[in-house]
Amino acid sequence: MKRIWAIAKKEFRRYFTDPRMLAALFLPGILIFLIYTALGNFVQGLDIGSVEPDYSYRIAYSDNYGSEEEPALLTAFSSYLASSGHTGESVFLPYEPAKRGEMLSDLAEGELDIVISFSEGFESILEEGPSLSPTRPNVDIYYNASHQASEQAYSLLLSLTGVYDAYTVNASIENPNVGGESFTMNSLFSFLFPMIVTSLLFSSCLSICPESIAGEKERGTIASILITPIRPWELATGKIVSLSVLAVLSGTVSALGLIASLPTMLGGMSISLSPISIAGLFFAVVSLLLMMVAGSSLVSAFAKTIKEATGYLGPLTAVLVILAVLPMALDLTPIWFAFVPFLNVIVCMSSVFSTPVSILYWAISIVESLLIAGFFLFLTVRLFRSERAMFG
Amino acid sequence: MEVCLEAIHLTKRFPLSSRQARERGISSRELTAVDDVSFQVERGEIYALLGPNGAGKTTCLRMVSSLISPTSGEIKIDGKTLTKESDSLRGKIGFLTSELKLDPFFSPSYTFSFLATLYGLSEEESKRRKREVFARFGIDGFSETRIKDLSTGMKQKASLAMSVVADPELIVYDEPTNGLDIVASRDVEDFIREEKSSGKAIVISTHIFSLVDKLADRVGFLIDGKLVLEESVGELVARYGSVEEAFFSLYGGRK
Repeated sequence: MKRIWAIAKKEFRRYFTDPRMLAALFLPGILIFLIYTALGNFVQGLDIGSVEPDYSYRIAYSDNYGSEEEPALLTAFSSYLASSGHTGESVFLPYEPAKRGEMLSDLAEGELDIVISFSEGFESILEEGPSLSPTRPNVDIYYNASHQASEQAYSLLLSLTGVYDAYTVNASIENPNVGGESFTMNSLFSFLFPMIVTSLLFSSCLSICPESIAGEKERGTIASILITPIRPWELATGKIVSLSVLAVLSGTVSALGLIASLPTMLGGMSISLSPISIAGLFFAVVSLLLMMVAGSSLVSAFAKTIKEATGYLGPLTAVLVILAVLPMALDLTPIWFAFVPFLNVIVCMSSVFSTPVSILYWAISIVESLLIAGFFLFLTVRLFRSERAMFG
Repeated sequence: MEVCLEAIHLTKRFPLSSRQARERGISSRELTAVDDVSFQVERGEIYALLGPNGAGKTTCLRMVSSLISPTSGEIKIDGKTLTKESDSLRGKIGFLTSELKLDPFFSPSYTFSFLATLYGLSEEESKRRKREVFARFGIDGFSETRIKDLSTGMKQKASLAMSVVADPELIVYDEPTNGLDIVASRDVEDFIREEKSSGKAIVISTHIFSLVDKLADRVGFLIDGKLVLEESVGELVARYGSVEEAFFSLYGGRK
């Protein structure tokens, strides 16, 4: 144990006393912060995710809701906008339920921002008490994801309906979106997060592992260690434990960079991550990181020089980045994709911001990644025992 | 005198890729670097392995120092088989080779303490030993300087110091004066003599005849992986006139 700790301490000393190595550890986090902040400013400049404060929302609602007065939902909508500094007056247009088709056409063409369809006597049933009615009242809210204002209004209306449990929302429709797919902050994150996290963390592994393992072989310093009574598994374990700690540290710095950049990145948009989502992201990032460290250590133990190791690992960065954006183009949520290494963790990370995947998918992905990391460690120890791998 | 090291029928074969075999112009997919070599070294004796480049000297010393295992044959230190008890026996071996480098990012002081931990020395032992060794080599003046910032002579002194961290009983030095100036070479020679007089068994490999003349008690001539002759320096001088003449009469005859 003393020898394992001595090896680990040597690695820490090496990294924490050399400015170049320190930069390799912390630069990814700083880069994440800078890139995300710059991207956030750029996205806000493109006006993705914000609607002018004087914009007048046009909302059509069916006049069968059971009251002469304006629906409470729309009153709440206006009040919320006013309290948040929105100056534009919203226009509420009642329509006969029979004309819903026309309204939806107008919505699709951008003439309207929202079309609301109340079930018969919606307001009266709510006033009398829903328990007296055989069916729960329902409101269907249609929007057009191609238009930012429509999407914004839809999000707000959904959040306002969320405070009630007396009625259902969109229970009678499958897809409330009458427009095309939107380029929202969520979809932006669902592909940016895995891509940037993957590329930066792998870059971090790329600078740590070859230097620590192939570098020792290249400099001839590994022989100075192997000549002592240390056992190969003690050396391998000391190396891998310290590199994992360094990589987790680097990953934590990257995560901090990401968190620090979120306010700028999100701008006026709201992405709320539940504690479960944050925990899921943490486990996904850590398992991905361990797999990367163990894999990079294996390649570094096999390579004779740092150049050879980075030669093998370098092109992998591009491959991993391509794989990291696949969830954007393909539906990888079916359960059998959970058995595809690396891709499964990417899908899990992406799913936090887009289509959720099941707990089983998460569990398979994380456990499989940890098992693969363990297998890579086993092979690395074997290489440390090999004369040919250690001394050519 | 008491035998410290016994190398018994040592053979080392390295596998070759087809390309490597083609480049060497051989049909076999194996390279025999050391072929049935036996020798022994007593305490207080300096044994020199002499041979041209590629003769198998370094491979031989790597096996003796347990860095690599022999394909066949065995090595005994104080009667114990190295391959079976390498963990305990490694502490008795001090190895120095040009391939064995010190981490340039650390100071001699840190490196010594680090290696002492790997050799299993307690903190107290490590400090005491460091004081002794650093004083012997005059390292105190640069003990906290990073190795990459040291001169070649200083680096060699540091390497010598690291080779005796655990006060080994067997010292194995591969080309110990290679690349050193005359002052640093003299330092190394003095150190080897001191270790001999303190009863250590010493094996050196070199192709510098003058070093063998000055230091060695016995010489083994290694050519093409085979030990072709083993004699004391006195016998060689008596028979051939000098160690150098002895080598060339053997090597020239083979050519």
